[in-house]
Amino acid sequence: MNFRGGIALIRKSLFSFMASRGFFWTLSISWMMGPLVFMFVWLAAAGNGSIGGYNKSDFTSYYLILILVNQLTYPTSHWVIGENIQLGTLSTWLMRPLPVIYEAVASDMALKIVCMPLVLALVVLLGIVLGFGTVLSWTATALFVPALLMACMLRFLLSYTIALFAFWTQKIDSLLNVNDTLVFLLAGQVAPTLLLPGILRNTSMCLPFRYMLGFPVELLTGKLAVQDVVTGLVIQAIWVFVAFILQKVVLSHGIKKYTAIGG
Amino acid sequence: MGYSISVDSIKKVYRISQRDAGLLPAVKSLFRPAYSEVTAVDGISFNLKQGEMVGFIGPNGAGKTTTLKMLSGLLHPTSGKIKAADFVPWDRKAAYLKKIGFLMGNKSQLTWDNTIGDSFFILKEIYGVSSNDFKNRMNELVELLELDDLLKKLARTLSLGERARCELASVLIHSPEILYLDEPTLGLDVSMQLKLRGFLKEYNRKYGTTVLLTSHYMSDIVSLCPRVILINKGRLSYDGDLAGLAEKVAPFKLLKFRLPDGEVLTENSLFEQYKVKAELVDAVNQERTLRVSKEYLLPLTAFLLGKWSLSDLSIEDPPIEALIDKVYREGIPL
Repeated sequence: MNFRGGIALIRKSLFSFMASRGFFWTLSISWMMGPLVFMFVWLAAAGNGSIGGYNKSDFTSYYLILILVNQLTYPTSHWVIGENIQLGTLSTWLMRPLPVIYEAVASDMALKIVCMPLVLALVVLLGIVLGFGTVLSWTATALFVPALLMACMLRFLLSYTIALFAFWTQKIDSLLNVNDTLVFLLAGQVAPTLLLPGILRNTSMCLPFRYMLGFPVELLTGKLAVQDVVTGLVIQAIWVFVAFILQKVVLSHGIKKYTAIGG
Repeated sequence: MGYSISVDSIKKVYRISQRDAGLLPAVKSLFRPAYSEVTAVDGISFNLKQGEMVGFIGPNGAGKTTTLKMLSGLLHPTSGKIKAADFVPWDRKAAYLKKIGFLMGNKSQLTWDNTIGDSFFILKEIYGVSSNDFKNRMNELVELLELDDLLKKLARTLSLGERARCELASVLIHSPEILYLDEPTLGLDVSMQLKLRGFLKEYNRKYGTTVLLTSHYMSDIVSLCPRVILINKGRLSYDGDLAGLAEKVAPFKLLKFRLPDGEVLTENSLFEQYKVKAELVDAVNQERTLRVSKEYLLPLTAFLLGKWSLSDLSIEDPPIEALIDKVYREGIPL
């Protein structure tokens, strides 16, 4: 494990992002827009009552935490990987004595570092204005940490693996869009997964998308029974393991197809 | 014998899609895509000893860059073996990647939005270079390549020549044992080319780095490479020194002189009268250039000097570019 190299790559990406000051601020705000819109829709729908056990305060807490979790788990490097493979610029990554995944991880970590302060400030402000009513328990907070870490890993690994299919297909944007759409529908953005109708809810419980975003939020806000928390953590860990193995297999086969075009 | 680089019957076949131009072929290709196989490298073998500096030349599309990419581990060959610094390149072991530097003509090691100084530091960290070694190496590279004014600049603000010097420095920071240089002087002005050549020569001499260099500028090859490997259509045509190649391809000299006013000289007159086979290559006013084989050179020169009082008589080797052009077009005579 080349930690020095990995930290150097994070530094490189940090400096690059800092050279584009407006970029990451507008990016952070754009990522917040979706959850904010859904939050206000659910607030309006809940009114003075509740929907599926979620009242106004619950929706506010849910979506404010979701904005933070989304910021922490959202990967961006997968869009670049596909293009790098297609254009042959992956060669620069391949020439370094580092696993290919390092560059992608470093880029995503750097973006989170630069975006997080702004997002955190806005979420705190919204929390003060709208009222954050949920009391967070120590147990839930402690379990939230590994759930959040695994959510980061899972969301990154799945997107990264899909991007690696560019070794075969060259253009990968459409597959990545499909992935983003499924995350949008099934990960708890449109609605908390516990509020999804019958078959959609059951599907979301099995697929990896919920465990990238909605599950840690539901865990922290105390909406899950103990049994559901344990089951969720186990399913999440299994999906992380599957995604990890899948990316290794896809990369080892894909790299043999790489044509390093462009002279 | 232990070689720094050992290439054994290496082959690379690309499968590429192709279709005719136009809308109908484009639509047809959606349902029935057509592919063809292109053999970029066709079973080539060669060895390089530690410290050798070898020119790897050939026309466009000959297979030079594909070969370098297999040597650096970027590409997996279709068949064949390579051992470089005792590693199989496409295994992409970190230990091998730390021993090589690959200067790719149009791919940058520098980070566009970082300063050059930061880019170098990041490479230092990636390759695990100690602070002391890095300091010494930077002092040397900054002086030799005149980088002092560039360290604080962002890579994207550099000119082509400035970027070329920085790219070369970036592949040398970790003191590689083997250097693969793919057209290192591409697009540079004459002064910069001279500077880079001088640097590479000195670097090779000082550190004994094995260098495999491709270039379309024959001046690079002539000044840097005692040995050349010629590849054409994926196959090796020649492996030896440039003088030997010139001898094989063009065992002749160019005889240039100025005829006295009013005098005439033709190819036919030379052959009919003096049985000398010489080709009249150029005739402008009274200036003449004859291409003559080496066996006739002295007799012809003696004849010309005896017949006329010639001014500006010179005997030259044919330009290396003309030789190489001949090789690319006609191959090497057996």
